[in-house]
Amino acid sequence: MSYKRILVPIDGSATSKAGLKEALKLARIPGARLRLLHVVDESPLLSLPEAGYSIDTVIEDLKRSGKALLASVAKSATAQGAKCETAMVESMGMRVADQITSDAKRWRADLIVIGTHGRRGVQRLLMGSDAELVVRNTTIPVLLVHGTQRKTVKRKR
Amino acid sequence: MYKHILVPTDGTRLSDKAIRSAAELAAVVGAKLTGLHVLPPYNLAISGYEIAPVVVFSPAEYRKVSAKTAKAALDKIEIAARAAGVSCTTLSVTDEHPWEAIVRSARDRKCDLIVMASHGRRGLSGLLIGSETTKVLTRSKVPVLVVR
Repeated sequence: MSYKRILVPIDGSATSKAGLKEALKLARIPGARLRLLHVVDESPLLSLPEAGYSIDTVIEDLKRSGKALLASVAKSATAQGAKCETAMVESMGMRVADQITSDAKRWRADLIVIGTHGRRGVQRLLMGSDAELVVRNTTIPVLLVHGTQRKTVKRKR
Repeated sequence: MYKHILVPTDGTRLSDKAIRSAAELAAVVGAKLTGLHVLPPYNLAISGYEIAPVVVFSPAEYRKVSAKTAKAALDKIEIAARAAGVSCTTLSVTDEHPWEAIVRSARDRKCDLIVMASHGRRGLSGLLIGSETTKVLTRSKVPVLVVR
């Protein structure tokens, strides 16, 4: 057995970049391919019901930027010799971690590579919460990679 | 690519899968393997039980028994490594906190990957991921591959 179907969640953050970098190493194993997955996370929007504009417009924007992000990541992964495909799912009221684990199952991933935050916040929150939830919710092996430590992580939209 | 993989074991069956994965991955990427077994110090091993142990060991007896336990656990790694054709060393240390020993060994031995089980000896007590594993995940700068 070796890792051939490697799922890499991508959200444009520094931690997800650290995960991707590690996944690109594993992509050098003959026969390995990456699936770059972006989950469009609508959950922050749902808590702003009276924002005065259509949520749909914002979601369309999120999807467009997600698509652009995936395209640029895929381009650089391919340039580094990795075989890869991209996929985008909407969170649809589910947690991002749940979308990652169910996509991994559907695609029959044999490895998930995911970046985590370094130390920050309270003990309970030491890991990026999505990363922690992914490890909890799947029986697929998960490779956790620490991103840059003690740096504010900007989430790109 | 990975050159040196650390695989901690507590001798349980849950570790076996991590050992197998580590050996196979090491073979594929051409890495060497270091097996690690961590024992609690005598005082903790004796007082750590929730119920008093039926047999209380003397320190000398504890050393003997625990050396045997460590050897049995580490032998499994050597066997797996040999089967996979991977070069392997093993390491037995005593530490109050297994996770600390794991993170420290990975750093000291310059390992570039840790492969470990999601749970250890303390088992599945309502947690979906073991406490030692969680601590290693949060403290290790080296990537950690969690195997179930």
